Amino acid sequence: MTKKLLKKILLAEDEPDIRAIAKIGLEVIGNFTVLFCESGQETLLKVEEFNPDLIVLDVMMPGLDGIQTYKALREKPTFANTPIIFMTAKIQPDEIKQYLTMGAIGVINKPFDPTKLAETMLNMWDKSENAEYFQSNEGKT
Amino acid sequence: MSTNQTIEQKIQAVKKNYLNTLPQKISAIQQDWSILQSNWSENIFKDFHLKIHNIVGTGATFGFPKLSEAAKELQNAIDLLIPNKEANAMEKKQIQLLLDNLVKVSQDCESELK
Repeated sequence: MTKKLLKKILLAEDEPDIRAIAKIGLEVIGNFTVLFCESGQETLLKVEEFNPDLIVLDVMMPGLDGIQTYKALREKPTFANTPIIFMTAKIQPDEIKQYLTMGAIGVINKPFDPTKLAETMLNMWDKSENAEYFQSNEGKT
Repeated sequence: MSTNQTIEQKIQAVKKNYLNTLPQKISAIQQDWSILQSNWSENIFKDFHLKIHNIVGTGATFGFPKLSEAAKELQNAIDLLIPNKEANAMEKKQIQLLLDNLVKVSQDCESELK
């Protein structure tokens, strides 16, 4: 059994500057295919069509915040187990524990180093129990 | 040109854009605060808080850790306020001091462009 490769990431972030720098970190450096959404609402509208391997949610967004978006995603059967990472600029130990208890695979603190963003997400993905595995065809005739 | 140079150029370009738009972001925070001082409003307060929160998250990401720190100090002071209740005179004075510091730090960052 081999862990599925991380290819498609949906990142929901209301701040355009963060989207711009994350685009470099994830698309140029990480070589991922990324769908950037400006809000929780946009995420819920586009998630099914994009069908990401991993979802990254900013916690503090106007309208639907990251937590509300997380809960709404979990109600969709297709995304009930999709690995989700939270991003937050208001990181507190209790909050990290709360997000992990909810089922997030990790929490990324803002500010972050854009050159290490892809690596950080990949590490969280690799450690995630929910990341899908696929059956290797090796050895089959 | 190496890939690393290209990446560095892209990062520098978004950093420059960030610095170019920083005065508008700080000005918007000051405007919210100006309104709040004369007419406390929950919605304006939420916007004010979100704008400061965004500076906390973006400053050091773009290479300006002092900007994030100054915004974080302001955010911490705001977090102590009771939601939906107008700040008292002492709280307003404290927020004004921290906002003045944020303005100064942002100007120092902008001077890097010149």
